[in-house]
Amino acid sequence: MEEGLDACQLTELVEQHYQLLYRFAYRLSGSAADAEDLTQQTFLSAQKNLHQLRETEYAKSWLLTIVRNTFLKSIRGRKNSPTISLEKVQDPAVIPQEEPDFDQTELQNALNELPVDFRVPLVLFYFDDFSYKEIAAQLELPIGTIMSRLARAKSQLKALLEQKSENSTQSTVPTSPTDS
Amino acid sequence: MDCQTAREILEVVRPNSNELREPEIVSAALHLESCDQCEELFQQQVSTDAQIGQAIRQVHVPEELKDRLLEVLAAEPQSEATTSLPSSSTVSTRRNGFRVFATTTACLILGVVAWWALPASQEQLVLNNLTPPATDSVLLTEFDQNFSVALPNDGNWTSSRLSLDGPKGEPLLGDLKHTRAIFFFEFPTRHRGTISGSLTVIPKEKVQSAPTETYYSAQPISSPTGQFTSVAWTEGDFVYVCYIQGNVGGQWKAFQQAIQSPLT
Repeated sequence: MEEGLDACQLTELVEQHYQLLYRFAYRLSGSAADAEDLTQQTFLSAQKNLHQLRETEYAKSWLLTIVRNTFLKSIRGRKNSPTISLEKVQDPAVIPQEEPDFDQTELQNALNELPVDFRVPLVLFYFDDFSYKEIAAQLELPIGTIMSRLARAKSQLKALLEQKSENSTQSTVPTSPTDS
Repeated sequence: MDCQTAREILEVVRPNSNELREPEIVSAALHLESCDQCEELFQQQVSTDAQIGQAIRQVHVPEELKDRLLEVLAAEPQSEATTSLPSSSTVSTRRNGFRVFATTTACLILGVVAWWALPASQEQLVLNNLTPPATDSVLLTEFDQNFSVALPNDGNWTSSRLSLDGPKGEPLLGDLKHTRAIFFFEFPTRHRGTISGSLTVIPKEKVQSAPTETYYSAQPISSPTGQFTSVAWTEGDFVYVCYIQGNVGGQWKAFQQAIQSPLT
């Protein structure tokens, strides 16, 4: 490591960013185990390539790019798209409290149903308040493409959430006292 | 600026961000001020965005995760050190050096061969994951001529009744080149009003498991959002996907029949 940051600063990077990376990885992958793997692989990759990071102010963006690339690489090997069954049980990574209007399981299932090309910019948009220009720069895509994908992804996500909400309303007829 | 364009632009802009100063966005914001309906829809959108954003960020991070990460990172340089060459004798070092050289060379050759032999599927689209382009979107750019786009021969796609607009293009495989060319169209019918839709053209080699259907045998599929019906078929070197607004399969049949070429 001749230039750039040293190993001590890697520890600082972990402390500053591990929570953000884990949350981002969780929303991309839809699973706590995958999110932890992705976070770990990201920091290992960062450790190997730390010399590439000259300024710590770009660390967050750099690390998120590694998470995204690692995630895309991981799903490329899978034959089918990483769609998760609608019946998937709620993952323990989701915080149960303070969720006023969206069921977290439905939200994650809706995200999983979005094509990856839509999911990644959408999660970046909602996740860390990146502007559409920053997202375009991160994904190395034209601004127009990102604007279009974001607009369509948001529209699809809302439609899916509404659909799931309607479905769950229709299926919430209690069948036993424990269901209430 | 019309309502749809203004809302499409403002959909992706954050309130109070610096981007609001840009001319196109300023125009959209000005439209908002003069249009009560758009203003109301925009406020609803801002509110929904805030709720979704809040919900998306609510992910519990395991308490021990940081310690586990630091442990793994601390162990990594040690494992690299143990793989370094022993230096007990000059001969063994030379032998090991030769082995490393031979192994590295073999790996490089294998790597190059593997790279050439990589299946194209790694750079292919899955049709089921493809989404319809927003009709009349002003955000899609002109097609970059990444490939020689051709309209289908089956079906009279050059009919004067079919009002085609495009092609526009969109990159879908991670690089900047356009993977699909998109034509938007409107087609007036006698009994079903005007059918709006789009035709996506993708080179066959860019599609994983290209459909075996032809234009005449392709069956419509409703999208999960219920807003589009799509049909996909292969013809020559291209895979075509036609999206029609609405989820009624009958519309596709009517459309297909209406632009069907006279069979001689």
